[in-house]
Amino acid sequence: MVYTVTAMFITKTEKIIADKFIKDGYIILKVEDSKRLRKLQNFIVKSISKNTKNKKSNLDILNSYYMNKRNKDLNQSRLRIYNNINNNQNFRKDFYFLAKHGLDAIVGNELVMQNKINLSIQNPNDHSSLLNMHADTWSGDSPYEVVVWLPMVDAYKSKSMYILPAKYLKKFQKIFLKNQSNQKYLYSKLKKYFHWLEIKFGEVLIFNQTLPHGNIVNKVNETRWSLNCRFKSIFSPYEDKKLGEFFEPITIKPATKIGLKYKLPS
Amino acid sequence: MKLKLRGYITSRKFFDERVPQSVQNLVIREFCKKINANYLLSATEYYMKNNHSILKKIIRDDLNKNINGIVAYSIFQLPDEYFSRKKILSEILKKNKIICFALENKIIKNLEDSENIQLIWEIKKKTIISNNFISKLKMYV
Ligand SMILES: [Fe+2]
Repeated sequence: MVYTVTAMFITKTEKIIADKFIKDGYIILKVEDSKRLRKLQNFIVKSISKNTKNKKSNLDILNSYYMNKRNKDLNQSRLRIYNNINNNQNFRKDFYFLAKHGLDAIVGNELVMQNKINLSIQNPNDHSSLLNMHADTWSGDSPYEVVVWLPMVDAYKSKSMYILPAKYLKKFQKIFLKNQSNQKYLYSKLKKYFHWLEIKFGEVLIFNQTLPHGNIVNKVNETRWSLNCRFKSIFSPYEDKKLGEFFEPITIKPATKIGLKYKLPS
Repeated sequence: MKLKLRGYITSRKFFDERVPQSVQNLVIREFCKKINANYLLSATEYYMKNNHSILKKIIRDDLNKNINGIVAYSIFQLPDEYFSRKKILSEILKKNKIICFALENKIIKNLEDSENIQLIWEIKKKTIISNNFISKLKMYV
């Protein structure tokens, strides 16, 4: 697919971000506020361990989580922490501010944000929390959306995720048409083109969810913890994920507020 | 032993109806509770029109495992065309598995049940055609 860009009244930094995002389908940035990041990580650590006298660092507690949690009980714990996160009033706001300028450059500055932040916990050798290769648009997300993916630990190799860069989309289309219901076939044919993302704690990934992506069984001897959430421009088209039930506005500007209320004098 | 059923929902409209994915899952969850089955996380069908790749994948991969069948949100998520539906239903039954439809409260265990589903489908199709016809007719009255 060829993307053509017309109006370009943007700063140098925005251009670097935009070009990289279009070419590769993702960008990894430093989080914009490390205090907020710590706050989110502390919140999660407190959700799993009430023992405040624990001498271990947050990273150690999260990475070694698999040692005390059997894979079979993992989803129940994940749901409990997910509910804690989404019942917290400030969590989403803090999350947004970690990637605000990146989102400004890629999506815009009047945004809707997914109502719920997703949490993924992947223990080593756990087959139950796999996300097969997919694009979010295949299950009703709008192609105008991006995903912000935030690791709570260092993510690398199979402890991370993969994505197919935009330049391989034509190849993908051909292969997909041949056998779209066979994930194993698709994965094996496309494997060589994937980018495996290495994202350290302290960095944030923004990616194009229309590109095929996914993860495999985590073979690294550490648990992966990551959060993800979708953003799109308020007035861009919606597909199955609707305003209200899935997204809510987070940055409505004054001119839009005025416009929404405006009536011609009569 | 408790039945283990794989959930199946759709991300697109069917017969011009749209049900949020979260609501489809709720209905499925309630249904499973009622029939005392274990509900395994739903797979979501592709957004592309007339595509049933995910349903086919479940039949091919999941039904070979220790899973007793599928629990779909509605019978109207099956393919639009009679023979494609028949093929899907009979493949499930051939594997000695079942398919349930949560909204319509139906469990398909044999050929007779599956013919019943086909009948409901065909009636629905015909009523849509006749509703369209009647609304056109009204323009002349
Ligand atoms: Fe995804």
